[in-house]
Amino acid sequence: MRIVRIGAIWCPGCLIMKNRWSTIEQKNQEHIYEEYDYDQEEEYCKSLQIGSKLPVVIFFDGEKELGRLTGEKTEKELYKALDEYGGKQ
Amino acid sequence: MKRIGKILLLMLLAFLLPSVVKAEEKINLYLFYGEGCPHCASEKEFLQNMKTKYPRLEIHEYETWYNSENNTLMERVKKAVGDTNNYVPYTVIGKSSFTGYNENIAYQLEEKIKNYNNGEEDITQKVIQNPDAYKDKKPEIKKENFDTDQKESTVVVPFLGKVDAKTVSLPILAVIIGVVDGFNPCAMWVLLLLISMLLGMKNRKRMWILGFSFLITSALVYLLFMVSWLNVAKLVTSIGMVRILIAVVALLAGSINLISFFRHKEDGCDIVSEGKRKKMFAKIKAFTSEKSLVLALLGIITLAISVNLVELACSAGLPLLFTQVLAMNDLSSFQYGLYIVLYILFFLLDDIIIFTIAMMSFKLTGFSTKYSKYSHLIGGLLMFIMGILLIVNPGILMFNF
Repeated sequence: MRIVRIGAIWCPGCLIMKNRWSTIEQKNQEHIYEEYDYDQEEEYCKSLQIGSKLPVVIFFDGEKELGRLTGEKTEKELYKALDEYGGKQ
Repeated sequence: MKRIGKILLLMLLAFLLPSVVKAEEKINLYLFYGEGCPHCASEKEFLQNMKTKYPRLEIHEYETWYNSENNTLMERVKKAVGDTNNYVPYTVIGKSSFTGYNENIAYQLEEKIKNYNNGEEDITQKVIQNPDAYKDKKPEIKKENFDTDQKESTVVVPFLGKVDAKTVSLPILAVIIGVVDGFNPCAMWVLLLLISMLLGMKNRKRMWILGFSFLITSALVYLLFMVSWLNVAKLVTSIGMVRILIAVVALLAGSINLISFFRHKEDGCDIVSEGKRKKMFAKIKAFTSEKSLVLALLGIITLAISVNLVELACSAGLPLLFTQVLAMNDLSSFQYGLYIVLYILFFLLDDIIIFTIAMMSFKLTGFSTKYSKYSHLIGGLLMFIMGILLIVNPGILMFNF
């Protein structure tokens, strides 16, 4: 599963999520993790139709979007999403 | 005939003399109060007892919060007596004045009534008869008969012992409201953007100087706003309609915060408009990459001023309300300054923590956005409750009086 994360340096919630994701990445190394800055990769982020809130996490199976989470989430919520979209804890 | 004339004269004198004597025996006490002020209500009760004990006492009451004529009279009397404060209850007997009410003032009032000298100048009566009588009198700072020691508010706190609750209420309020205001996200995104640029610098000393300049300028902008409003509020706070207006603003601001809390259920960052973001990004980049430290500093200071003026518009409710509460309390200039500085310190606390951690660890971090969400809830509730209190019972907010 490919996990695409969009954040920004000026977004405190995104900074908090970075720490949570680093823990998850270490425990779930079978997935592909991609991180984009909303300001640096504006075109790509707009193509994903991000909306008006950050951070955003999109779960892909190849090019097919399985689901997404918008806003700051707890580690528990992130693991739940990983399970739901085909990952394992 | 002559005899009848003498008898008539004697009868006339006998009729008039008691009135003359009666007029001289009256002790005129003038009470200026506010409807809803609990100290005023306590003093009124005390004065009714005094009237029973001293039948000579004649009490003249003037409501000043909702009656502008009475308020004007009180201002004139204060000028005549030489008082510069702006509080109620305000009591005048002869040339003596008493601001506030507590056990000590009750004792002094009774002593004054007991030992009242009939020949003493009745300043209030003079002002009523001639409003311009003391127009050119210069004010003097008087501290006599001005005791705000409220011993009955003492509580026992573990490890600290006996503490006067009234004296800690304002510092606690400063800390709570300051912290809640601090989690307002209006300017946080700018600070994070600035720190991210500073982290790219090789010169650590420059990083600290520029970062701290931003924080100190932010503190000064807030300080200027709060001191300015305090000076205005101290002048107008006795006017009931102004207090009602501030209460309405508080209720509106509180409602907006509460609606925002219930509407935005998701934690996260709202994406600032693209134009605004790009402009800010370009400015910060220009200032931080400026070779001259002085110019970089000037740029950062200008940035901090403009950002914080916008933030004030975004979150003016809480500092406005806190300053209003301060204005309603009898404090020295030092105490006003101390409480405002305490507020600002806790307001900036989250910024200071984020900046310091970033500078020490070279890693940008932030506080969870759920804190800013809850700051809307707590801030909204505080503003709503204080707005209601300002209307129905402003006396509750007079902690140090």
